[in-house]
Amino acid sequence: MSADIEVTARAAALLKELKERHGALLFHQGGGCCDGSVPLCLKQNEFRIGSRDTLLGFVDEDTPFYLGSGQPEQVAQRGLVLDVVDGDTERFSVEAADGVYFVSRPQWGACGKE
Amino acid sequence: MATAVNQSSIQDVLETLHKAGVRSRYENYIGGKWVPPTTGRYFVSQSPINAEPICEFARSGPADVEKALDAAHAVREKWGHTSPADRATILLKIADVVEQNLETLALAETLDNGKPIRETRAADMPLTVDHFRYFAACIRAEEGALSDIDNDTVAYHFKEPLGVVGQIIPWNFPLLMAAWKLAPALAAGNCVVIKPASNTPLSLMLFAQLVGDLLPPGVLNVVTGPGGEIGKALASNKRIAKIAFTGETTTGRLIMQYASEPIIPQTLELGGKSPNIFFADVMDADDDFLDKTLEGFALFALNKGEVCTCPSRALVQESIYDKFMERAVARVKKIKVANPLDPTSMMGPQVSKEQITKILDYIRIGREEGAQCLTGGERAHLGGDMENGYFMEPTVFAGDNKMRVFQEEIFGPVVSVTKFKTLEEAIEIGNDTPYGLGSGVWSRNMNNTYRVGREIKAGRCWTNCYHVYPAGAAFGGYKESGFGRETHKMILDHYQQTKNLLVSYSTKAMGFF
Repeated sequence: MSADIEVTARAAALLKELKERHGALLFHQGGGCCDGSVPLCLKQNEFRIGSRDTLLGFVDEDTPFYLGSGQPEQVAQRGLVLDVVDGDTERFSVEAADGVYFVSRPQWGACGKE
Repeated sequence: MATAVNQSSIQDVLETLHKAGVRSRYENYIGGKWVPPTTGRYFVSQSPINAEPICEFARSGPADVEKALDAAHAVREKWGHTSPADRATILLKIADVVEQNLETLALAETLDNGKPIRETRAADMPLTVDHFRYFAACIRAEEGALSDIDNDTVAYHFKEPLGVVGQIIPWNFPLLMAAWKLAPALAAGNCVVIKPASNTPLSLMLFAQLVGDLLPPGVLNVVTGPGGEIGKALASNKRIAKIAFTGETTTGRLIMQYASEPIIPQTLELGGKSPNIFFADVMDADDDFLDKTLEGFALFALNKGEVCTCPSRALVQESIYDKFMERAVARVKKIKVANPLDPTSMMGPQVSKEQITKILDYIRIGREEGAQCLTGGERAHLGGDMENGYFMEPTVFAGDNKMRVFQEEIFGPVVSVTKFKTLEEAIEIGNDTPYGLGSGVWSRNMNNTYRVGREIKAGRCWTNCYHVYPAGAAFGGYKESGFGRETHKMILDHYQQTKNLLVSYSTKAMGFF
């Protein structure tokens, strides 16, 4: 599966900085409850990817984006935009201490699937 | 849908709260004192009603979690050895104080979270009170057990507290979810370090302010700050004996990984996509029961849909589908979206800008994957000072269970409706989800309700009712919704160790050596 993941300039800059600080990273988007269906940015050696996770694609050359639940085919078909917003998050994502967090949104009208 | 309540009423409520003793800034509550965060930093909590600031809270760092753990460990032994009668007495006093301050707590919760005041007055706060009373009773009545292994050998089983436990609370029921976790933990003799969600810390800080003195210093410690930083510092800490978490699934998996290092127990509640199943016989008569059933359909809008057990999938038997949906949609259209401080408001704003953005994205996804929007589907504009509030229209989609709006938890006032022909098909569709927290079934035929209730893989099946949460009925998930059970005396086992003394009353050697 190879989803088109569009990374905003702000998200790309933050990811670059986080990689310098933490080393190799990955994104994992789960579901459920209060802060569900949003991506967590985690150290690659911190989170164990399982057989039920789907590799959606790559955010940059060495940062994979996994989906832990939901409908991977449909999500991939639509494509994602990875962005950063200001605020605090409850998710255990590496950017949390900086008062910002990653969000993912569908790529509206970007994939010719309208 | 808009009402004439304006900013001034929100300011009035803030003034009322300040007169009742609510502070404009809260430090952490550690060791029975208000302790400024080591970071020296604070964050502002906004009301989702108008996106205006209401209170400041400590923006703590990991060092503050360590401070709280120090305070908890200092009193751990002493608190663990208090008698169940003493602990029960304290829990009853906590319940009394919450009850005496019910109106203040209800106002604070509504202002901070946006849930309608009629819900905080009638549900969140009374249930919180009752929860402490229930666990006071449970711990007072609890007994160890003994087994006669043989004529000379007895196995004694004692219940012991775990020690210091960590608890992470979500933003959808800020005080009630805290009560669900605190009451059994304290009853069982544990010390607690608890973290409210950053969107909604006010009611738990106010709770600490009101009842903190009833507990020995260090038994209850509340630390605020970004979950991603201090929640993680707490959950991955080697000095906790157990972690309880309600939140999203990736973080839940991380918590399980952390817990695998010190090998500590966890209880996790991680969301749902609960089916609400309506059999044709609900329309056999146009009576009170049908009226109750239609309310049961509309209950997806309770707490603005921000409930892990939100009945966000409705399964309606094909033979009544058209006429039932006509009545159901009409019922949903009567939902009054208004300032949640207005006692007639049935639905307040979503908790945050992020939340309403996500809900609107899902509504767009639903439309594009072919789901038919039967009502709602837009942001609700209340105008005036509440134009910046995060208000949604309650939304009903009709479609297919394979669609994303049927499979992914939206956590908003959106229900996705589909049809079924037979009981077997209802069970199949109901179970076609990664989650298993809640479910509902409506029928005048108790053979239907019993069979569906037993076959749906979810921790609870509400039968001819929905969204009731009495203490004494176990609550928790199957499948990806997590594990562990709350709101029942059995959760005491999740906060206790079992000590077995295996005692021989024989004077004879075993004869092996």
